[in-house]
Amino acid sequence: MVTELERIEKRTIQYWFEDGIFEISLGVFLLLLALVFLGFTLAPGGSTLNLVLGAGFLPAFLLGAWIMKRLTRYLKEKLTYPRTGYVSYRKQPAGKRRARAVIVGGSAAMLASLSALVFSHRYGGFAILPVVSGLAFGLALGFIALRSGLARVAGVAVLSALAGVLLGIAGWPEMKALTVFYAVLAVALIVSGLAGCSLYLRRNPIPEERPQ
Amino acid sequence: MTPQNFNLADIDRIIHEPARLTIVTILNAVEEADFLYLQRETGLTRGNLSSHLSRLEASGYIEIEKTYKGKIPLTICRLTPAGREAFKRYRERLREFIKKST
Repeated sequence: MVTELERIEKRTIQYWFEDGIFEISLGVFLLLLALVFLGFTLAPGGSTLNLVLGAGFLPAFLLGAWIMKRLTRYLKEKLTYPRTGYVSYRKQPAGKRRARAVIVGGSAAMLASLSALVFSHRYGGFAILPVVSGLAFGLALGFIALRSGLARVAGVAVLSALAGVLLGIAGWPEMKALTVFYAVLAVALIVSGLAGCSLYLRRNPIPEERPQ
Repeated sequence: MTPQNFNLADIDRIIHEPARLTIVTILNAVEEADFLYLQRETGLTRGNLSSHLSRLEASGYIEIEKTYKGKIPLTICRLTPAGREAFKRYRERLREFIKKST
């Protein structure tokens, strides 16, 4: 019986992910990051554009995260809630939320610093950032796949790890490899999300009359 | 306490009923959920779900709010602090019972 209660609780978590909207929003966010890295690739080191991109990376990252949150909410209100109902998840305590903000901000700052560092140094033809990014996203998406039970997210997690490692050893310049990695991951997430969303919409037409 | 002397009267009967237990478990996992979501997840008919929600509301375990999200009318349900506490107690007792009976 306790297991059944746990299954019901797990199902509420799955509900957040099954419509594919989270993947689409995350994909859009990563596509924005890929564009920023493309800017780094095209701007010569020490140029004004390069400096502007470097300084604007953290605000752009936070803005992207905010856009992702708004986009997710907008799409859920338009597509999900009218079909299968509205759910609002419990907010974490303030302490945990602050810790998460520090981790997200710190990750962005670390990624920006690492990008700046490796932009001028290469390590024997091995690009480290795509490997780190690939494995980090692979782990995070793998965790989401485990919690949501969605095989398509597990597929993207494997693709992330593989793409990261392959781009790392491809011998490409660091920023080019990173740009391609984020673009590939973004497209994979958007395609996976759209497939999930399309399936969800087919399975769940809007009820003719809302039960009240 | 053993299964032999486990007093069933101590179990919260409001929560123990299977349909209401499902509703309370769902609401405990989220901040709030609307009628449509609860109906889909529990598989209950509208009338049945309404009746169980009224019973839970009368017990002070949930609160029901009629509102709008954009143009969509919503009947939103959420557990009250008393409801969360009652569910926590129910679950602890259930675990205790299972542990002692195995």
